[in-house]
Amino acid sequence: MTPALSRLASAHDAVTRAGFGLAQICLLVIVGAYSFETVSRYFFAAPTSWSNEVVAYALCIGTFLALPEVTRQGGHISISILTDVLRGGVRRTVTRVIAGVAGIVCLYVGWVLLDGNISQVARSEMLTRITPIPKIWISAWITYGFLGASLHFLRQAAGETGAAP
Amino acid sequence: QDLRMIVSWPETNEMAWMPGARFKENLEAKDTGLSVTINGPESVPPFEQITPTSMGVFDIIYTYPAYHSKALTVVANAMTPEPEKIRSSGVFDMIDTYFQDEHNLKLLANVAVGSAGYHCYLSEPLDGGEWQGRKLRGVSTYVPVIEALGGAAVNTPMGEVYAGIERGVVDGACAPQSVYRATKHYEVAPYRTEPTFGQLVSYIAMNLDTWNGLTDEQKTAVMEAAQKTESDTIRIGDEVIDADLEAMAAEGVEVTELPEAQFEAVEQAYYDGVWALAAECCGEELSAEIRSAARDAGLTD
Amino acid sequence: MIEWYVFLSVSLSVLLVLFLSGPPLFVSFLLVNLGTVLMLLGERGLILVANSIFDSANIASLSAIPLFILMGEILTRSGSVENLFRAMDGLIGRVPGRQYVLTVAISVIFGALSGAAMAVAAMLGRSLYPTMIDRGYDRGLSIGTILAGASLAPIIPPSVLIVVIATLADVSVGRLLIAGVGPGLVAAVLILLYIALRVSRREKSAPEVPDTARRGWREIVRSIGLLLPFSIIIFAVMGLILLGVATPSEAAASGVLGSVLVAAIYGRFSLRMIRESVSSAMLITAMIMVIVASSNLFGQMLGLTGATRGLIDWGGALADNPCVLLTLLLAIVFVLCMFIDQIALMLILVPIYKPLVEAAGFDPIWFWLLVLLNLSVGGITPPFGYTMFAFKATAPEIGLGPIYRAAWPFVGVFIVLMAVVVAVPGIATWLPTAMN
Ligand code: NA
Ligand code: NA
Repeated sequence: MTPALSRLASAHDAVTRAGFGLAQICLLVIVGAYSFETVSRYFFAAPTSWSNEVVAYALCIGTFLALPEVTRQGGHISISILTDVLRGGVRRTVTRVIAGVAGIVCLYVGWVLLDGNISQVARSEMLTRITPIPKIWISAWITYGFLGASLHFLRQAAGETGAAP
Repeated sequence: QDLRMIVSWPETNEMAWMPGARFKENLEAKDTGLSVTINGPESVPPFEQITPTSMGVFDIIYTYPAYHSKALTVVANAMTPEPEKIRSSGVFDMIDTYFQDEHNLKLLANVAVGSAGYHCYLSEPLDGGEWQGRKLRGVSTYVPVIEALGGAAVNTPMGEVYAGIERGVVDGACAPQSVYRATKHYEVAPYRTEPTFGQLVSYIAMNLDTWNGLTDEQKTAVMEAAQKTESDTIRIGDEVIDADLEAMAAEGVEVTELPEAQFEAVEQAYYDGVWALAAECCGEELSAEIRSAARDAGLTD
Repeated sequence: MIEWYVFLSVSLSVLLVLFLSGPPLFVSFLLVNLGTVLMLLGERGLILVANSIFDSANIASLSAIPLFILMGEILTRSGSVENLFRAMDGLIGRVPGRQYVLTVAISVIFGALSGAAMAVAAMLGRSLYPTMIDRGYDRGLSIGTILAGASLAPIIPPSVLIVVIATLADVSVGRLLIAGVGPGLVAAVLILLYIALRVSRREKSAPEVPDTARRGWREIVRSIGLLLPFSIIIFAVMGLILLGVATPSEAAASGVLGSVLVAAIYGRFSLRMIRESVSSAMLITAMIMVIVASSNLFGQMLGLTGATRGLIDWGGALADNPCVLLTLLLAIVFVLCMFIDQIALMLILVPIYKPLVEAAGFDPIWFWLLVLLNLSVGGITPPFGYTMFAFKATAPEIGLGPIYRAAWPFVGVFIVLMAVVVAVPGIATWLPTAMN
């Protein structure tokens, strides 16, 4: 790998790590929001209007911020019957082809999502649960998750050493 | 030509399903070569239905305004259910123009299921006409109503409301009687408030490109079917409301009266809330313009 | 428009082949969903892909999943679970297959705490499974017991699944909830009977734990003392729900705080432990949620092509033969559950089943409870089942093959359970009737 590519790869890893750090904060937000809601409602008869929405958004954002890291670690759930029986070079090739396909699929979905994001901004689509917020605030993270995961899959397909599946 | 229609309620919610089915029936009876295939929320979840219709994946949408952004048809929730007047006053055309510009949708009908409005239902009867300090489940247009009588609005997910009322996590909810009955919430919250307030008005709209592709004869047929649906649903709705209320009374549901002063406060809060929502979603000026047209026609106050 | 049966068989076959060729499951789902959408609706239909991912990833009640996983992580990583085992060792005498019995007992308790099989499977996988393997218990039977135990969660109240079914099917939520108690307990007994059968046939699958000392009252008191802190978690989850302080999802959050408190009481609290638990729980959550989000559209497409409705029309011809109809309706749920998500399936099937149930004159509580049992076991019928995936996510060293093999016998146990409930409807209907 050329030094330039290698610098790009480590930048991508750094972004992935930072994203995963934020994802963990999302999980703490879920715990915090529901705990606050329970205490505020029960002891102070002051339910919040936001807890269910914040929790739903935190779950979504956290999931997709963590997706590239799951992919980097090769942690996805799959049925490995085929690859388990293969050995040596064939196995490596099949694994790389699978990673390549996964990368292309995620890239395509990422592109579809990005297209959706653009139209959400153009049409200023709002999420209309209780407190309306722009949909893009939440949906952008899904796009990030798929594009980040796609890049990790493609790096694994390219045979980059490191945490391959 | 087969038109693909997406609706926001499952077939099990008979009252909510009826207007869509009614429109299909009315349009197909016109015999202009148009048929309708209905897809429910199992095909696309309710909150995600408008964009695919704007983009032409579906030809017709039948949904509730507050499920989507830029939901100008929400103003019909603050008007008396008089479809002809809504059209003759120009209100219908103003919303239609906005929908064509913002959603690429041609507004076909505002459908009210019956002429009665919303109840709030409670686990304990009203105390001096107030629900001071109680936690009531309600979103968007209900929030000002709940707060007007000293309650706190909570947005407990619908599926958790039953158990929530049973265990006292929430003290009731505000919804039309069809939801009250379908969710079985009356089992745990047997006191429903009277009189009702506001209107439950959904709408039917068509993708603008589909609309423009129709022949003049077909367009007339669609609009006639839509107008017939508007009056059908109010008539059928009123019958079903009576049946629903009777059935629930047999199950032990009691009426708890809102005294006049409180009812006025509730109604005012509801109307103000709806108009504030319209101003926020679709522009102060436009909503003020519609409100004054509706006022002139005696549809709202 | 292609015929629904062509669509159904082709998409299921393609999905199956893709699953077995080894890519991440969410990628297989995406491939089939993209292909279906492009074929049926063309490029403009792609908006449905984006929408379905967004919609299914934004459901607040799914937050119980990460919260129960996090509880399990904290209890495991702090070593608190070891205290539970030590205490149980001190309390329970020489019962053959004690860990299996313990797993089932804890499953019943967890089932009464949680409405989601995935959360329980993840929790048991995190906390009980490593200990069972360490102690030399049979791997297949251990996995199977955990999967079967986790499947009790949607049956025993509280259960999100029950509330949703009851609402869609227009039956009383309260009665259907209560109806789950009987079958849930019968299921636990059947699971224990099956384990007893296996253990009696193969001694090795249940090693005896070395009996270090005679159990005097001193030992028993010490064990009970060791157990006491766990009542904090029981209270934080079950107690708050029963007292009406919190909804099930909120109670899950207080359960997390409870588990932190328990770790602190055992002197095992550290920020590092919390950091590791949060990190691991978030990874597992992402693995599960991305499948949920990617598979959602598959169910939507079944609805859109009319596949599921066509299937049911075909079965509806049998409405005048209730036995055949019942078998068929349940068989459809069983077969579809092998491949797709239970909630999506329910959204499609319940509205279509409802008129058939009325036509055939089935007791609605009894019928929908059978569907519920079917959906619950659907989480452990290979190849697709969230209960299995949730467990698998906590035990990455095990392939799906051994998990499938471990699941099948217990699928059999649940089929026996359904047969029992069909033969003796009172198991389901007695309590709800007694309520009036
Ligand atoms: Na449960
Ligand atoms: Na399954």
